[in-house]
Amino acid sequence: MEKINKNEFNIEEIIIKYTNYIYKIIKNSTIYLTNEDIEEIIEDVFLVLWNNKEKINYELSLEPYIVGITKNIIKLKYRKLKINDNIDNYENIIQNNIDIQNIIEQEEKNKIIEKTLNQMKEKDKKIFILFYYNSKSTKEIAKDLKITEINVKTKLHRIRKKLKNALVKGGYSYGE
Amino acid sequence: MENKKFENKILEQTKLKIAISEFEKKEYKTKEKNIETKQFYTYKKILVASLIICIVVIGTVQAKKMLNYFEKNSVFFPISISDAINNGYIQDFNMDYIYSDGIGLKIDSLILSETDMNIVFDFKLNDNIDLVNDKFNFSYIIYNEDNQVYAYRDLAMKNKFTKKFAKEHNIKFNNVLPNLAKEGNSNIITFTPNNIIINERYVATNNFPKTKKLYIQVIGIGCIVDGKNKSLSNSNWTFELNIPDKFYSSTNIEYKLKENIDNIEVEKILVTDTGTILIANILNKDLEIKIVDENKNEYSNYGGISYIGNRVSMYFPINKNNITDKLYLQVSINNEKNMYELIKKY
Repeated sequence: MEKINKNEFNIEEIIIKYTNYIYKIIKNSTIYLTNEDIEEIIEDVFLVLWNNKEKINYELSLEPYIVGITKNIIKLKYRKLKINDNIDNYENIIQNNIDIQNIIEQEEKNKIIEKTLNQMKEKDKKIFILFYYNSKSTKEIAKDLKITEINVKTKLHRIRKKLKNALVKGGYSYGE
Repeated sequence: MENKKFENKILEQTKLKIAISEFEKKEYKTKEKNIETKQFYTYKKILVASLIICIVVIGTVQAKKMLNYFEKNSVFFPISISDAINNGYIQDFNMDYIYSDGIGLKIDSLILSETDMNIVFDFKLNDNIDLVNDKFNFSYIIYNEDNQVYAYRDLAMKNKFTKKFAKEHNIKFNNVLPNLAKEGNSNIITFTPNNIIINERYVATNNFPKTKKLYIQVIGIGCIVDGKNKSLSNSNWTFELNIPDKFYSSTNIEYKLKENIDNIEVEKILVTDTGTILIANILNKDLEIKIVDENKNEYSNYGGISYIGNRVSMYFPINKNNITDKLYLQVSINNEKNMYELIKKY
């Protein structure tokens, strides 16, 4: 099993490396989930890893984390879909403090944001991802997309406003 | 090639999810109180009360109806609510709407157990009520005869309602009304121009105490139009609900550790009809705790862990109906598992 260095945590490499691995875990664990559910679970596993990258014990390999997180997300998914089936009780000792519950509970809210983003222009969506995923500054984004920095700031402001309105319309408070 | 295509699809979608997660961390602040609510708009309105009290006769138990609602609406369906339903801690109230200012209100049903509470509010709006959009709002307080507040919502009134309530009931108010709920959730079941049905669910911080009567005050019904508050009613509805005998007369089994554990001070281990509650002071937050029965079935904490200082309450999906004679607390840290026997307290 390959260990990784904390400083080498590269989520994109991890995604490319483990997507099919997780897919096999899911397929071996369950027969009840659709392809769409399976894709969602795989994405959520990586999201959990991302959100908990500070808590991972880098003395160990990633595989046990991935297996444990995957099976726990499947369990939560089953609960949500009201499926009564037993996933093996996985000894998730490694997963102390890794927050998985949050993923399912935030799902509805995240779907509102995702839907709103998908309705925006490609460029706006790209700016959103460059800012929040790639953590680029407005100056760097402006350079990448060959537009002015003021343009980037204005677009970000409009994106946040649209998302805020969508969340509030969906019944969620914002910034309170 | 197909594999590569799938990997890239997952990559792009995950990047978007991570971006959304980071956006929420940076821009989307949740309330400090750790109550997760699907919240409505806030508005300010001075309360003018016209008190309506309704004494409700217990209706027939219709557990299946409530289960169907949860299944149909894909509400996140916690084990403890289903246990509460299956154990008969649900009451359907066959009451009529109580009308004021053109709005009728009734309580459709109540699910109540030691750990969970679920109430369905049913609003009927006359045709002359102008609900121009879906930004419907109302405030409420749920409390018992001893003035213990089970849960409340007072966004609409910006705490004016709860402040007044605290004063009237001699409760200490410090910007927050002390209450028994750890977290809450709100879902709209029906939304039409004339009928709005809303489900409010709460999980107890420790437990919801037994009570023969529960009171629900509802006030401040309104909506937001063009960014401004619009009151639909200034009335105050108060419902007095009789709590099912089954809930009131149920007995729990209290356990304690046979031997003390370092770094864990157990306050309470309570096995109820709907689950097991553990309240403890834990110094090492890296511990993982499970309950294990004599058949080696392991029960993990359900619903997340929230600490207040070192004090934590956990809920495990093992109840009076499925416990074995012997029970254990399994404590794990750094790959090391230890089992500690639990014995009945009385």
